[in-house]
Amino acid sequence: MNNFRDIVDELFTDLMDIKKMLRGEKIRGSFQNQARKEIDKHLNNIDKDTQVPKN
Amino acid sequence: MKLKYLRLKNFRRFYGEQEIEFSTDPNKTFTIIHAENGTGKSNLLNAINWCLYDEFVAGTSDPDLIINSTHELEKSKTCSAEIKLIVEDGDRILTFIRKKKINDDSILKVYEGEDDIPVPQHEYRTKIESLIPRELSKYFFFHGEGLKTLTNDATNVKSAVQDIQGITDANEVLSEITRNKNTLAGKIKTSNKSGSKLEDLGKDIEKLEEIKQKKLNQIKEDTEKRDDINLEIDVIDKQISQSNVAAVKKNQELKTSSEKNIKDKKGQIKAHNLKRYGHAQNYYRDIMYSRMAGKCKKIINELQDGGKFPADLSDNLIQQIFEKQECICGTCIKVGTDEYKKLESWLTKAADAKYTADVLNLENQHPATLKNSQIFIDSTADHEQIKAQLEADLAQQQRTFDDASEALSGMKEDNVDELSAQREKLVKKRNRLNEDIETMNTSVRLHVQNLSPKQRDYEIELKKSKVDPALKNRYEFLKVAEERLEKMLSSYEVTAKSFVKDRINEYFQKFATKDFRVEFNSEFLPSLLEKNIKDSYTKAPESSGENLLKNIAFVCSLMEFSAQRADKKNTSFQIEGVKSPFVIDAPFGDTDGRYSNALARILANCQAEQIIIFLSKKHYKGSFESITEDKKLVGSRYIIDNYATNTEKEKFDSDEDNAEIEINGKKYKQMHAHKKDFGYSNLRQIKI
Repeated sequence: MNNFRDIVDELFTDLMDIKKMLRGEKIRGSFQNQARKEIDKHLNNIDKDTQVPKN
Repeated sequence: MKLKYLRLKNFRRFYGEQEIEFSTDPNKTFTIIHAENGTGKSNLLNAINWCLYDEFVAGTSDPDLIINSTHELEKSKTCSAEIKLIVEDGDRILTFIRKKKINDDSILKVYEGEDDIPVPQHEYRTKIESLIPRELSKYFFFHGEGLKTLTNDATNVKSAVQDIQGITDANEVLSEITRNKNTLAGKIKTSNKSGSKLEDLGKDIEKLEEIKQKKLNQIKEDTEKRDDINLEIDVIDKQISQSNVAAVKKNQELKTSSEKNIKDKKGQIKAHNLKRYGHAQNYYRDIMYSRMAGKCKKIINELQDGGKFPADLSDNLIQQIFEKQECICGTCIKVGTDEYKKLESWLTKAADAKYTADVLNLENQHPATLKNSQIFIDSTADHEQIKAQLEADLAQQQRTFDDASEALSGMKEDNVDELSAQREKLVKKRNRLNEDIETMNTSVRLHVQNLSPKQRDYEIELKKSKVDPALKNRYEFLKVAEERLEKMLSSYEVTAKSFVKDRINEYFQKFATKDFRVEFNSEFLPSLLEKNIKDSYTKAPESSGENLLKNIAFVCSLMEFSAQRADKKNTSFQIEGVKSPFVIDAPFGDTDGRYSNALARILANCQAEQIIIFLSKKHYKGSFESITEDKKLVGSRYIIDNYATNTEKEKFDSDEDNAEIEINGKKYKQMHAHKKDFGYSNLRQIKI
């Protein structure tokens, strides 16, 4: 099981990478769409192998 | 990063091929480009912006005009404009060439290294962003006009602090996480049975979020409108400044001031003559006094030698007259006659010690007489010289008055009333929008405060509810991600604000004209406080000079913060800091000498690796000249030679002051007559 903090940081890093690629025009399209896809990917992963610890 | 070289080919006002080699010497950080208004100063800033970002600085007039009109007339269908910019960034050398042919879009080519190895097109944007991210460029390639309003509203200041902290991307990431979290909240709502406490809380939150979002959208819309209005105001300001209103105003001021000076000079000449007359009067009176005083002194001395004083003398003399009943003048003196009464009264007076003292005092007149004589002689010696100087000054003032009157008689003032009225309307509209934005920002803050307890309750209810656990997990995950990112971004903002705050106050402490302090309100809007009696600080009147001083200190602080970040390891949530050249177009506005001095000192002391500044003669002469030349800060220098059209020439002729500029004791002509109907500018290097 991944550490909860790591999963959140992974999400941040992936979203920031998308922003960087858009900034460098390496990918095109809207950030909103790309971010939604990326967040969904991470949410699917936590469904599979993560239990979010209680605050 | 430093700019090494710029070449302009038929770009806007620059005809033919022009080039600049910027100073990259770490000890001579300044490159000065001397240029008068309307000769293409802003176009040089635009050349850099256009080459890198394919856009002009905000407020540029005729942004579609890229190719030089003279060149276009000559070459018609084959004309083109091109900018070549070479930059060095550590060991890297990058060359950017942007070219625009008529009727085509512009094309950029990027090369790397001394050998100009072509960079693949898909890497262009990354290369540019790694030098200066687009959102930071507006602070480093700085249009001086923007200084007036830079710190006037919270949105600008907030964006600047976020931009410089490199968290604009991270803020967008946060918005997306919040958006997706809210979508999940919607799903939870539909999957939950109606009438539950969770549903009610969800509805409340949704309603509050909706209102908040509506307000945020309105803020965004109003901010965009406000920014557009600011641009329109800038354009109008430029049109007004380029009209002949300034020249008419200048001549009217000259006429009024010379008229006053003529009156003053005439008064001075009159006073000078009167002064001499007064001295002469004293002198001639004293000559007489001197003779009398001299004689009296002699008599008194003799009397004193004989043991007699004036009162005794008078007494004896009058007693003898009374006895003989005959005066020394032959008048018969009998008891009861008027003459007898007069003598009796004189006798009484002569016996009075005051009169004796008066007579004795006469001998003291002698040194005073000598002193007055000397004053008269001195005043006579340079009287003619001073009079001649005053008369020459009077003649000069008369000439200025006549010239200004003549210029005004041949000058019909451009009608800028309509523009001024339009400007007034826009300013009112902008102020209204600013007030609306402030009100809505406060309202959003209140909404956020109301949301927090409801969200806490919602999460407690959510945990207790029978909603799909996977949905719960997803929601909680995004909620925690949101909180974590919010916390991190707010800590970055605190760091940036603290740096900017300290640095601005440091600048003010060192260079401000008075004892000022800068304070920031809850929205980080800086305001000026002035030291008053009893060492208390009260709000200072924000004249344009003080405002400019505050804003230039703000920009320098932002730049230094970015440079400091470039040396540090940044987190993955930040765009890297950059060390950029500071390219600034005429930062002085209409400030007077005191502020120009402080502004020049701030710029000379700011920690930019390279400063490229465009200056008119008015702003160079004096403070800026003495500060940069004394410290030997200038490594490269150019003049923009202006070849004026017939119409423009008239305008320039009325402003003879700018026809040439003196740099380090040598005069350079910078305005050139040109017979054709199109004007252009050329760059001329001045040897250091």
